[in-house]
Amino acid sequence: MFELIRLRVCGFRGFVGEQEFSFDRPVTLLCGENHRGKSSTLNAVEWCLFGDKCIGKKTGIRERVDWEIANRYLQEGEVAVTAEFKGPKGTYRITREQSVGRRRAAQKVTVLLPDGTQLQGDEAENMLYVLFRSSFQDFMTAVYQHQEAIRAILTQEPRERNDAIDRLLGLSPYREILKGIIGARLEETLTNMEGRREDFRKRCEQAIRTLDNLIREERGKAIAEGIPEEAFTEQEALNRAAGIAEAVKYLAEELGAVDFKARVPVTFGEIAEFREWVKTQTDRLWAQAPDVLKQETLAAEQQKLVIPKGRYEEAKGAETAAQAEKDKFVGQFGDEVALVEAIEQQQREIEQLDGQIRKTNAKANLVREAMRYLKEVVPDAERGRCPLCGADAPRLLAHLETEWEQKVKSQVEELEQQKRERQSKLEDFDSLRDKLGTLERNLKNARSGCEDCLRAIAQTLRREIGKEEDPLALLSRRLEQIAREQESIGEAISKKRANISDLYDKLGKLRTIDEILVHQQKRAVIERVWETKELLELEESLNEASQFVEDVRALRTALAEASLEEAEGKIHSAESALDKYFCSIVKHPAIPGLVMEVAEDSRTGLNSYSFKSKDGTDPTPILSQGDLNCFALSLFLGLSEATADTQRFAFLMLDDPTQSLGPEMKRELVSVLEDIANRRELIIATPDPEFKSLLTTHITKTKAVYNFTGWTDKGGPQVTRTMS
Amino acid sequence: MGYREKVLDKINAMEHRADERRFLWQTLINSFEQEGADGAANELAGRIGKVQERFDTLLEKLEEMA
Repeated sequence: MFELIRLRVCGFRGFVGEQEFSFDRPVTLLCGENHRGKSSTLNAVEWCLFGDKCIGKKTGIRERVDWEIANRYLQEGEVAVTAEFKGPKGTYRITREQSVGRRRAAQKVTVLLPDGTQLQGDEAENMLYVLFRSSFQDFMTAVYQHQEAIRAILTQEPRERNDAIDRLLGLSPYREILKGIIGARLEETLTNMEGRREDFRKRCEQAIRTLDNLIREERGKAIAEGIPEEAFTEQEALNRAAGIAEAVKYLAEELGAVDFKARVPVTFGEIAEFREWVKTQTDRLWAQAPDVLKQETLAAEQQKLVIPKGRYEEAKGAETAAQAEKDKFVGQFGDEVALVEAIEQQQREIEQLDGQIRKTNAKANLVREAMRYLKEVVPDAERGRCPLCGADAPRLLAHLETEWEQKVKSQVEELEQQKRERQSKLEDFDSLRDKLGTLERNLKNARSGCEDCLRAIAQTLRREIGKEEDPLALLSRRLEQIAREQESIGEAISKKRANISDLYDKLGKLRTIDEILVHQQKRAVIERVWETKELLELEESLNEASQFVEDVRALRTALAEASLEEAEGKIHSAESALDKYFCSIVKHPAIPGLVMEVAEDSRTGLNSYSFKSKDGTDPTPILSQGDLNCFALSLFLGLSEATADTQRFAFLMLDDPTQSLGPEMKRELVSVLEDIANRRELIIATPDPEFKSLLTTHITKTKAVYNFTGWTDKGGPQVTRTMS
Repeated sequence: MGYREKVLDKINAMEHRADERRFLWQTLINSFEQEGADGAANELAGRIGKVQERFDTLLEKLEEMA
């Protein structure tokens, strides 16, 4: 067996300068607060022995992903860890070195044997295995209790706990590889490939069914159109195409096209393009034919003539209506001259009446003034005399009043009545004169509209129209000429159109034959797909994928079986020690003992662990965090004890074993360790002062205590050693 | 005996394709040793990915033919 006697650490993780530890007592305690370098000291032993094997995802320890070997504050130099072991033939010195600043730098391993032989590189690595016969997993399971392992097992999540127990049992590689296999999603990929191949097959079958239906329908239609069964051949299609080409050529000649070259398809594959060509050429020839062009020109002219004719008729109608309205008005009320005379007559009469009214008013004023004078100025006694001459004029006032009432007043009123009548008549005549003006303007506008239309007609006919000429007659004559020309051209065109119609009919039949044959060809191509080398290769690649998935499935089964067997073996070998240590430390009143079982998770192939109390009850619901911690420690200690006979390492390393433990459990753990110290060298790291005190006072073996009192980035851990 | 050997024993005991599976196992653990579970997953996914790529090309060709 190999005892650890000395460790020198330089530049490794928390360490900066060189630090030496002597393990010259049965028990060594590494004490101090967290982040002072205790775990780095234990990690240094592990790294020295196993190098990169204890780093990265493959360890199954989350904290080991992106683990830093070199102290992050060092800029240059070497990381170096030397561990000295006392073995059967003397002292064995192992040194592992790595350059600072290079994350994946090559490591240099040196093994110095007691006889002075020095081995390096692969020889040194092989020698490490020969000497210790231990893998990293074995070391982690039975020699070095990682604090991460305890932390992980404290979870309540079954999957994570299974993960942690696998790690405690050194089965992480199985679990991690199984996870890798699951993560590759091979079954999903294979299913996807199979599905797509099946989809392709179904699509092909569907396409064949669709084409069969199309061919059947089109053949039926073709036969109904008079195409005989024997026409559904490529040769027949080519013959028909040649006939159509000849017909296009004849049409071109008929339509007056010069230098037209007909095109004849040579192979069946050219027929679809030929059909398009025929259609394009026919349309082009037709559009360029002189008859057609002439017909289009006549139609355009006809259109041009019809519009001004309509407009002229409309304008002429408006002029006639305006004239009729004016004539009727003049007939009824007289013309402009008569109306002016009537107006002047009324004005003269009004002037005469005004003169009469003025005279009558002068007399009326005199009478009115005399009456007012007699009434208001002359005293009553003098009213019997004339106020002008003083002659007696008895009843003068009464006489004047009678004169006013009976003659003057009625004369004035009658004259004013006559004047009002004349004025009213004058207004009527003014209004009629205005109306006549409006009618004359309307007539003028209508005549102007007619003249505009006339000019438009002259422009359309491209000639001047004399005053004696009837534009409507001229238009009608031209329209009749156009109609005659159209009739003549129409007869010629209708013959040619019949030829085109016949051509289109032939073309339609050719298209039907072509489509049927193309569908038949497509169908044949799809059927031939099943005989292609590509399909065979596709099947081969699918078989290859299927075989690969089958092989991986077999590996997965082998991994799951091996993992389960190893777990069962380890649990079996450690179960009595596990039970003993668990009961000793926990002393749970409701759990008389603990039985651990393992089974394969049928879905994932991973190990699934369960606990049973010895009385058959499920202890999980009553296990505290402390109990779980004790379970993890008991499992580690149980496995150590179970492998003690074959174990090459004479020491155990425990890192912070009292997480979540109460005072009583800590005391019981110390008792267990006191017992183990009789058989194994113990190296224990703890930040727990209570546990340290219990260890120093209750472990009867001599102890070396390294106190990690501080840590600085430039100096690393500050360590002092005391003896106990 | 480590996990490699234990699984290898089981592969050796297989009636079919033991050689191919031994080789596959060796490749798988090499990837795992270098890059952990992700490395193993990538190795397997990469292998079937190559077959799938060939499959895709052929299927595309057949689709064009049909």
